[in-house]
Amino acid sequence: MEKALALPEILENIGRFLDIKDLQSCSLVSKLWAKSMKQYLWWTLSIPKVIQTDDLRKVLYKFGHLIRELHINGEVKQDILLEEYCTGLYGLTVKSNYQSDGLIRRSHQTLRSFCHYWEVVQSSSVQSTLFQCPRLEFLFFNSVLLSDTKISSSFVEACTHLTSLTLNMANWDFPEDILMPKSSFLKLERLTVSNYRNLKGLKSNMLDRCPNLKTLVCSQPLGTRFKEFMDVIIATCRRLKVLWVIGGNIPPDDSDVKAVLKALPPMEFIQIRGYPYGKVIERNYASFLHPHHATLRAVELSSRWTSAQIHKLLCSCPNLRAVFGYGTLSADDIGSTSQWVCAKLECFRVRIAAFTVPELSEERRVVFRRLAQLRHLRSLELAALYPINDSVLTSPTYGFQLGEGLELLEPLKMLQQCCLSYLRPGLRKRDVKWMVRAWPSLTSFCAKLNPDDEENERLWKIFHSRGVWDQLSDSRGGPCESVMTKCAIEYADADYQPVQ
Amino acid sequence: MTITLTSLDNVEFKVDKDVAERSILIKNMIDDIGETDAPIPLPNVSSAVLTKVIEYCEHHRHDPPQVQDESDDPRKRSNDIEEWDMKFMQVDQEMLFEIILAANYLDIKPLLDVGCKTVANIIKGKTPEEIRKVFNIVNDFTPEEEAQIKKENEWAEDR
Repeated sequence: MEKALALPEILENIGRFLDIKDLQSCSLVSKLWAKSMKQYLWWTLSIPKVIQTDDLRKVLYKFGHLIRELHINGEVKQDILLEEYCTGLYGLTVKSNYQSDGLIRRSHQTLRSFCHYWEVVQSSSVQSTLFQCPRLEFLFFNSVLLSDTKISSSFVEACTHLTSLTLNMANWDFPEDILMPKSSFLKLERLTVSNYRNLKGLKSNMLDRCPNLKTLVCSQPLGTRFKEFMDVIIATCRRLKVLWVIGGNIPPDDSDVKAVLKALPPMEFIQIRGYPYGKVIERNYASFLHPHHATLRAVELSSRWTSAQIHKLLCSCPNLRAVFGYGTLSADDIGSTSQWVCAKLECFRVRIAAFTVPELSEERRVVFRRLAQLRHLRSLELAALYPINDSVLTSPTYGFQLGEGLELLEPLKMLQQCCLSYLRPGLRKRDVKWMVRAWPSLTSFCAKLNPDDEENERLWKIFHSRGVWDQLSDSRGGPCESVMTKCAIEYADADYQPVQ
Repeated sequence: MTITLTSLDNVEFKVDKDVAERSILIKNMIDDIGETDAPIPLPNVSSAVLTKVIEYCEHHRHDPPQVQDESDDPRKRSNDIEEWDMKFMQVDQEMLFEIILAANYLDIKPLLDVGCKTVANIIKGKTPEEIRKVFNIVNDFTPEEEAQIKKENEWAEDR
């Protein structure tokens, strides 16, 4: 045995970098390994809706003190004294009507985040316990923690520590009167607020009180004009970097959007989407993003973006980390003389419409050569590399093959996930072998590798033997990280927690 | 100023102070005894391994010091190894573990982490039996113990 692996502290340190599946495998290797993996194996416990009470009690008795993140998804019998076992929680998520004040009290010194999804208004004993946790940073309430008429004083006090707050105002609204004291949200950097109706109340009670807000995910109240709504945000959120506007029943005028984007401080991510009458309106605001090119970290394309606009984005945004969405790039634009500057790009999802003439191999190589410049790429998703129509689909055009340009992608050493659609012709054994050798970080590959089912099977065996799995269709799921499920906003704000 | 380090097999290495001080062990020694020309003996590290460690420290000499915030979630991903580090870690398994031991002894946290991430990447996707085989580990569980852990592990799954 390797000497290093006899040292528990080194084994523990390795455990930090493993996901739950691998931690489970490691815990079955030997007694020493089981002991060393415990701390991270039991970091998160999710109590399902239906449980074997006795089994749960045994597990909690043994490992409860190690649990840092607890998720309660259903009813938990009162005689399972969760709070007796789980005493060092960092995070607590409740998706039932479980009365959590006992748990909060026992983890009072460590608790950083609390999420409550249940629609019932919380009892005041939960509130008064929760708001005395000195390290509380993240708060998510689906139900409203406030009474109809006034904001509880313990909430006001707690807010001074908060860095993240999510409010779903289903049962309550901001009053127009100012209820929150001046410095109540001094530390707040992330705010998500939805289903409120009173814009003035939001301004006076929240936005005016958050001088350090960086990320705002906010619904536009029904009936307000976009301009009116955005003027409030521009006037109050002077340090804003990430903005996601959801909802609003009146689609904004282009001239309003243009003026608003010009007035905002330098932004890292902007998403404006209207849902008039429940229908998503895809707009093309590409040309208005110009003032933010230097700072943009993530962009979500829509199908309305033109190829030239996408190309320009890649040529003028040096800080881009992620490009998502359904835009289509043409080989003509890719092959133009202007250079891509987005060398920091980690996630790139785009359609490439090219190769209308399959013989033009030089045109193909230009595309591969451009992609090869993106050395920090972790996730690459290319759709429809040639025009989709039946005649093309049935006749071989070209594939992601050695000799066709694949070999040019050798510098993509960080690539973890690769997703390709409509591979024709399919991959060959040497293409797959080349990929696992050239891309040492690769853990996930999504594609039908070869139209021939048996060949497809054989190729997957090579991938599996090197730890590469199809995240989408393998039930095993593979050991890969879910980069692809990361949303665009997370590339701009690493601490943003999306709400499920 | 330069510092002299002596390896297990008595080879002397002259390195710049800021490079040597990537090792917290050496930094603390220098802080304790003051600047000196006397060589610092490293009786746990062979010259072959020390050569690699110094190569790492030289490449990373200008990195900002790591701040350990105890409130930080210690769990990290293993797939964010920098390109240079990844190439640096392309060594045989024996050398990999020697580097990890040296980084642990010399207290060079970033190097220890890169080493452990590399091991984590080897582990990924493997069954317990495959892991034992790769690292030559003896299974010391009884079948009953193994069955019990499997049963407990069902709770630790992501649900």
